[in-house]
Amino acid sequence: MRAGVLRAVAGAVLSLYPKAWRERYGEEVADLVTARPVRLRTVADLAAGAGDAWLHRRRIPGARPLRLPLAAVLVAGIYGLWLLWSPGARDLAGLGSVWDEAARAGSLADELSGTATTMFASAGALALLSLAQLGTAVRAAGKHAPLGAAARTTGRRVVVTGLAVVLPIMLVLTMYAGLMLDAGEPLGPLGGAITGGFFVPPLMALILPLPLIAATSPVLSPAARAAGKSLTVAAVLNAIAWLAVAVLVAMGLREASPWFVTSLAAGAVLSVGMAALVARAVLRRAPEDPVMLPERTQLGRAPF
Amino acid sequence: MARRTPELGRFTDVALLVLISLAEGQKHGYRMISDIEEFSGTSLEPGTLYGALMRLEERGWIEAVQPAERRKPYRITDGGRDALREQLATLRRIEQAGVRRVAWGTA
Repeated sequence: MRAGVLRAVAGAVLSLYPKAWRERYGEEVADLVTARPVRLRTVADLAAGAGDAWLHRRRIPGARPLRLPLAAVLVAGIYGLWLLWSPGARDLAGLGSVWDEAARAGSLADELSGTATTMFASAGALALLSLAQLGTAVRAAGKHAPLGAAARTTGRRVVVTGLAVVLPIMLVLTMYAGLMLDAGEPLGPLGGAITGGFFVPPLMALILPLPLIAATSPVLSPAARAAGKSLTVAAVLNAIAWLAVAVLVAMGLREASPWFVTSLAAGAVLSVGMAALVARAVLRRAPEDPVMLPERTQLGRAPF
Repeated sequence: MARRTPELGRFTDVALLVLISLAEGQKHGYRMISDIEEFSGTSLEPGTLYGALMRLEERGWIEAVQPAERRKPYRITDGGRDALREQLATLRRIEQAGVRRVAWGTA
């Protein structure tokens, strides 16, 4: 291969390095590539170096921790969950045969199925409750002198964002309720038990922007924290429900296909991870300390 | 070659060559590659060299010097010099053991 082409390829490979590395060493290495002979092994060495730099990114002097945008992670999570749901976990034949095998153990299967269904439904209800907590606080925000104006502005942002997410929330709720009420093909007791795990975390992710916006106002922050606590309990209930599902599937494992078990296991990990991420995001943005309002003076509350 | 330092991984040997090169004075990447090739016969590629420089800098064994010209030089720190002494002492012990064993084999 001609040296000029290899030099161009080596230059292109440099763009594969992490940004922090390029900021620190990029110019020096580009200078070396320009000044020294470039061979195929130089290109291969640079490509291996790029992989190494990504693997050991924290070692790059001045590198900041890698942060993926939360919204992107959650959107990818929703897509992932629903891909795993159908055609992965929503395998009617698989659901039926695993349930039949698990049901041989007697009433335990029914109890586990009921527990998972109830826990997932309760998690969804708690997620919706967090909306009600925020709604009450937003309505009262304007009356909170002397921060009323700022709180009203934040409250309006919460309402506008709420209007933007209400349709997707309704869609998720309709799909969830429809599946639970056996609209379309009945999923059976095991299908009913696992459905919530695939729909509650997306519901929580759709609700997430609202407490995050509310947390930016000192007046609405306590309500955002209360919503965060509700979402945390919802995340815990979601995890407990998955434990019940795990025992249920273990009881019928002999009849489960590897594809079904893999889809369900990946779905469980994604579901629990997403719910925990949503709860943690709200609790981190809305601190525990209540807003410190100024002391009241003879002239009323002192301005900031 | 020298005992592997866990944090340096496969760059242990390259890091040793870099430390030896910088022990005689500060150098930028281009001069380091030439110097290492001259005293050890090892031809380093930029990706490998800068993988080692990143680790040595992170460990505080070398540091970048404010450049007087376009190219940025690096110099060895006191900690780097101590680490180099330790690595060379290890190499000497390995060399002595090797020489002794070769002598026994031919006796």
